[in-house]
Amino acid sequence: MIVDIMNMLFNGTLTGAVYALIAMGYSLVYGVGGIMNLSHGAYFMLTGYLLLWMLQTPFFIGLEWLTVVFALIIITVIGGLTFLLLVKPLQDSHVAVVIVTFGLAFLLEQVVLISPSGTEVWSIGQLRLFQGYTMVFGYPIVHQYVFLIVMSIVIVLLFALFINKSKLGKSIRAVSQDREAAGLMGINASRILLYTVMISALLAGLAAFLYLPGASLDGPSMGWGYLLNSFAVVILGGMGSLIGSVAGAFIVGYTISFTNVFVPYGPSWAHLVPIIIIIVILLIRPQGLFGKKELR
Amino acid sequence: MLNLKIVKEKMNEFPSYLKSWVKTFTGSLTIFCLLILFVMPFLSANQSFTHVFLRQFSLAMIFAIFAASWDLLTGISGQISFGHAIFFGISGYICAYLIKYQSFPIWISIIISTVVAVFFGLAIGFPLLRLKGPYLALGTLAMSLILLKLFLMGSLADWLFGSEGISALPGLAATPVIEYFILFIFMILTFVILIQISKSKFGTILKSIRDDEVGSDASGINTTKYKIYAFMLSSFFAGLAGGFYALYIGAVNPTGNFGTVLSFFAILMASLGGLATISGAALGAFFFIFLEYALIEIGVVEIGNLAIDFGLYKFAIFAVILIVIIRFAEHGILKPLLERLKDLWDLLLGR
Amino acid sequence: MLEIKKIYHYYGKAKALEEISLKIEEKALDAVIGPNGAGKSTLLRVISGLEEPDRGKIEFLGERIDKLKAHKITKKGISHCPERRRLFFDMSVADNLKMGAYPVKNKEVYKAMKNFVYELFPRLNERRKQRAGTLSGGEQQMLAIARALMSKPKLLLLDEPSLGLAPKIKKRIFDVIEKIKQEGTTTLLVEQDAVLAMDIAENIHLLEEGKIEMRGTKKELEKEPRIKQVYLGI
Ligand SMILES: Nc1ncnc2c1ncn2[C@@H]1O[C@H](COP(=O)(O)OP(=O)(O)O)[C@@H](O)[C@H]1O
Ligand SMILES: [Mg+2]
Repeated sequence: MIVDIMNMLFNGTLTGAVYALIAMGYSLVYGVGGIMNLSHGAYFMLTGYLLLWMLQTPFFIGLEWLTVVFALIIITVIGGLTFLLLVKPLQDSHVAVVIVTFGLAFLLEQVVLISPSGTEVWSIGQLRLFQGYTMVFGYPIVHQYVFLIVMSIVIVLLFALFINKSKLGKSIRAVSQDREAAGLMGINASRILLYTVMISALLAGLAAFLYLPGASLDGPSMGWGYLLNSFAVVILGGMGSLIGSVAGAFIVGYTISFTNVFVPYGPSWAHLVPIIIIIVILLIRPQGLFGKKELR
Repeated sequence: MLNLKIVKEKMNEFPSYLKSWVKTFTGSLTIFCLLILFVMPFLSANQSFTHVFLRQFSLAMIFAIFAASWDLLTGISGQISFGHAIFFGISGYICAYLIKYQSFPIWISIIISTVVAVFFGLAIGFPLLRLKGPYLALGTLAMSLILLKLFLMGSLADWLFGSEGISALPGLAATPVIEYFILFIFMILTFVILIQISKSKFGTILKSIRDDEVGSDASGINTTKYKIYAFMLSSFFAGLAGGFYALYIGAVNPTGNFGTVLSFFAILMASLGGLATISGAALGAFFFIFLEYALIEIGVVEIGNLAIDFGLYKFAIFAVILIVIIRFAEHGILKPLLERLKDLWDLLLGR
Repeated sequence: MLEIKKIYHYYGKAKALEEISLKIEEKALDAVIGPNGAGKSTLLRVISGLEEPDRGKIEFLGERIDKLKAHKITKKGISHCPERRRLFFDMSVADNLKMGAYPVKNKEVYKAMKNFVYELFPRLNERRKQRAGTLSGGEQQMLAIARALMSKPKLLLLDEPSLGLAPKIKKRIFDVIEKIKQEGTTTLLVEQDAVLAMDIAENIHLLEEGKIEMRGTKKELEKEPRIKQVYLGI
């Protein structure tokens, strides 16, 4: 019993920590620019495969840490290009933005799928910074995951500091509160949005770097699951609310791990949990638990 | 009484209306295309022709119906659906179940499964209607994923048939040619009905809701009612297509009938043809199916020492097409292309 | 300093501005008065780049600015204090001012401007940690003006600073506007309250249904029977 509880608590925290990172950026992009970026999950997936591909290249033997730097830079640039090439020209139409980013996510998935590593399950365990585990109440606590949780908390705190204290962070908030007024202050809202999308892609990439070495690359379609779960997190916390996304991430995390551990046939039902959360929250409290704004 | 009189007048006008329509560019072109489609099956009795090439046309017709149903909901009424596979899949499953396990006749099964799809349209449309724009898109996507995952679930396999689905269904008809003509007739009916609807007062109301929901509400239109109608109508035709598709393939399974990729196809085909045109959906479907067919036929091409398998790349190519269309030609490419042709036609006829 | 030449602006098909020409000299305080819906706000929005004029030219310090985006125009030295204040309500007073000083790169200039506006509005200094959304209407208006001043503009555009305020507070705001002018900032004021506006402005332009119907100094306009009747209520 105590093992089950430990299992639920640890995995819930782990899932929450991963989704806090992914969902924070996703939520920020919507909050600041009203942009629903459906390729966000694909950024996470693609970072995993970028790491894999580079690790498979002889050049990087002994320089594994460099793959991380490159992967994060590439994914940040892809985020920026998504905004500049696809989203910015279509900003006035919600439908177009949703369809075009849906198309991009689909494209990234297919590109990975037709690559030589597309159809198998892969490990990028070389990038684990910590090996081994410690038994606590009979449950193995994996060190790499503890590292992930700590890093996630640190990143969330740094991010909150950045948004609340730095000049760029403040301009991001200004654009999100009143885009036109921000323009009158001399703030180039388009540029701020570009930075926001790039930051969100970077956060998704960081989450992939922290989580995937301890888990596995389950195929290019895994991006959709992460997208949908992030959406659940953000719907729960309220679009555009940072505290909301972090709280939402942990609620979703614990709900999933609870279902996994305590519900009969848990693992298959656990897939459904986030989707059910989405539907229920959308129907009873569309602004989310922490959001102020009604949906647009 | 008055209505009857109007109907009678319309009836009397009908032949002349048809005559003048045929003389228009769209009319002539449509008739031309329909004639080609009509004679197509008689071109060859060769097995490889009827069982492979002709069946691509049948498939295109099924997808034309499906894409048109999506266009009615998203293009005409502005309710973005990313989960159109819901109606397509549920109808396919019901149809397969009734035929295989309840030994219902094919046509009864298709009717029942289409009606069930409409109920799903109602059941899903009603709660999701409060959502707007991207939220509705993701709400419908989430719904379709729930269904996909439920049907995939091993623990529910006793009721929902698991990942194997239902197979070894009888065909829609005894021969591919009969199947072709059945689908041909249903496609024409679907398009006549949907185009008439989009031009009717009802269609105008749907468009006004799409363009300005608050304004429509303010001017006394019961927007909720009309949006539900749009959902039900759309799910009717999506369901019809789904039922046909199950019989066309001869089997149903979760990814093949509920997969996100099907919703993606509907979006792609309708966008190719041109959003909110209905008829564009047919153009898009034929273009799409034959592009897919061609890519698979081309297969592996060797350029230098690089081997490119187009069959493998097809989805990536579709994704690029979708992105390029939405980014650079929001009105589709096929419809505007036809309009350029029409200008040429008018020029030639000196109009 | 600012020269507007035959500007037209349409919202869809509805005409909001028709052949507007206007010239503002350096260090002047001009006012545009007119009834609700006349196009006063549209005129300021066109100048500051929030709307692009459909026809006509705008020159600022001899340079064409009518095709520029709002953030570029702000950097050229035009600051627009918009209608209904449009503060960043979830941010503190100090952060709002910081956003106002966005184009200012020099720390010394920033400090000087901050001291200047806090001197102008001591109330804001007392409340600098408070969220803008929790201020009273008068304080919010002060903050909006202060924020617009933070970029050290050469030309200040003020849209209805008296809107929704009690007469006593209106008076205070207008005193400050006069003071700003005396400090040497060229100002274009848009105001429905003609009495107040005519008291402090040197040149007054009457805008009605998108067209400038009359212009002149206070003395000249006071003689016009129509102004007297409609706008001054005498
Ligand atoms: N965003 C807009 N879209 C359409 N019409 C507008 C918009 N803003 C203002 N208008 C119209 O333009 C005219 C001028 O408005 P405005 O410049 O706000 O006048 P004022 O500031 O003098 O009250 C009005 O008829 C108003 O209805
Ligand atoms: Mg105004």
